Amino acid sequence: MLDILKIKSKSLSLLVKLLVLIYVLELLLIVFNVFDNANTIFLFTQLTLVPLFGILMLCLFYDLIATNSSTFLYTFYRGKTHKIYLLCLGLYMAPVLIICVLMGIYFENLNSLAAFALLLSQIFLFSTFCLVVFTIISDLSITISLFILYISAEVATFGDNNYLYHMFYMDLHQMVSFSTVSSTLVLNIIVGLLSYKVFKSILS
Amino acid sequence: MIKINNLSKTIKRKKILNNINVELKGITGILGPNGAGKTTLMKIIASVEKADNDTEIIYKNKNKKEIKIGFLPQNFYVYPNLTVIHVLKLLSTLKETYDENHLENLLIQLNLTEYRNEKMKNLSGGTLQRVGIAQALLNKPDYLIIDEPTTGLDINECIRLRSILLDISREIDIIISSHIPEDITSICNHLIVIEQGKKIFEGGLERFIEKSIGATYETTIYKSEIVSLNGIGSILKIEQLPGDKVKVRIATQTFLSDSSFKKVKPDFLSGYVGLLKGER
Repeated sequence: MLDILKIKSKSLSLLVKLLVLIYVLELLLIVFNVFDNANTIFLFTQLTLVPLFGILMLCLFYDLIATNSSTFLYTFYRGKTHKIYLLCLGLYMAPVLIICVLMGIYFENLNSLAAFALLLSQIFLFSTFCLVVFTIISDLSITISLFILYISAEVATFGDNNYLYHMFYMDLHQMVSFSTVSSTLVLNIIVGLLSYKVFKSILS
Repeated sequence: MIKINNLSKTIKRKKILNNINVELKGITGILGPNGAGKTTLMKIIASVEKADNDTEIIYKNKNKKEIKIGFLPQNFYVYPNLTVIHVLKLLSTLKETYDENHLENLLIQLNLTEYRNEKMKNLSGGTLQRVGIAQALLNKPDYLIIDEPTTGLDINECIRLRSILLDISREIDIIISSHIPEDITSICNHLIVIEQGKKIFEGGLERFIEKSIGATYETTIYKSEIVSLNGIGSILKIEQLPGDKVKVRIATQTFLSDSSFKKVKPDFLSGYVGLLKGER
């Protein structure tokens, strides 16, 4: 399975480079104390790492969903898509864990574990939902535009729009802890699991 | 042997394939006009698409119970930004059949060694098709299913591809679909013709050509007279001659007594046109 990712990442080299750049930037922002507030850096982390993994997954499975060879390639991927996805998620979360631990060290009031759990739930929900929408509309640019629109709306209203589902934690005053993020965390996991089940049943 | 019983395929309430019963053995050619249902049939045989519920397809081999199938779809073009070797490695890893030696042998057999580090987007149509054949052979199949392999290729690439398929056919049974008669005549010994989703012929090449015996003529006329031949029969071939004249081969059910029409031995095309025009 790792060999598959290794080869496929060659066609996504630009995106992978961007990802590494953002990881490094995140680390530098934390280490050099650029933001005084831990929640500001956490918000920045959410708004970069969550959509980036979604886009990465869309590009990774693009061949299987939106090309002329999709039905043919599906015979190769049969029963493997969800395994590839879970492997990617695992690999992606490793540096995220480091970022969360560092945030916990540099900002004492922030609960690293809660931050990691919330980021995991967000990344899981966002990526599986992206994949489900992409499978249905089969158009990469429309899918990405829809999700950029959602994030923009969330940022613009600071998570206050009643018509939208709020997967991000946008409170800049209350520190990230299990008590403050629990409702968002649980909802994200439930909706994420539903999306994952739909994605798995469509593509596996 | 692949035995197909009652194969039907309905898409949006329209029957694309209608009750097809065939036995595929040896080198089989599936011929038919555009839109006849060849691609759908090939995809169903290769298990890429599902047929209607009452369809039965039996895959059997002399030695083994199950047979392995390699499939080259029409217009094979995947992963434009990956190199040939990476595409083949990726597909064989996905298929769980990765074998370094076999992969290297395929590159040699299909004259792809010089293109191994070339990106897919930089390959010509003929080279792409050879990469397609290589990926279809990755799992060492018993049957190779190839859909319209020469579409869009120039003459040299067509000839090269046909000779490669002929070489492969010594070891592996091939099922090839095409609307180009030369693809079929060059390698196939068994033939299935489908039209509008129905099988209209199954048998050997000789029996196929017999479908038009006594109805093929050749005549030399002026270019301006070609249109008038449409009323007499189906034009099979037009050959340019020096000056304003052309040599025309036509197939017809009518007996032509005019001495300008010379009766000739029917060929593959005579049989094909005969079949499609209903001379069965």
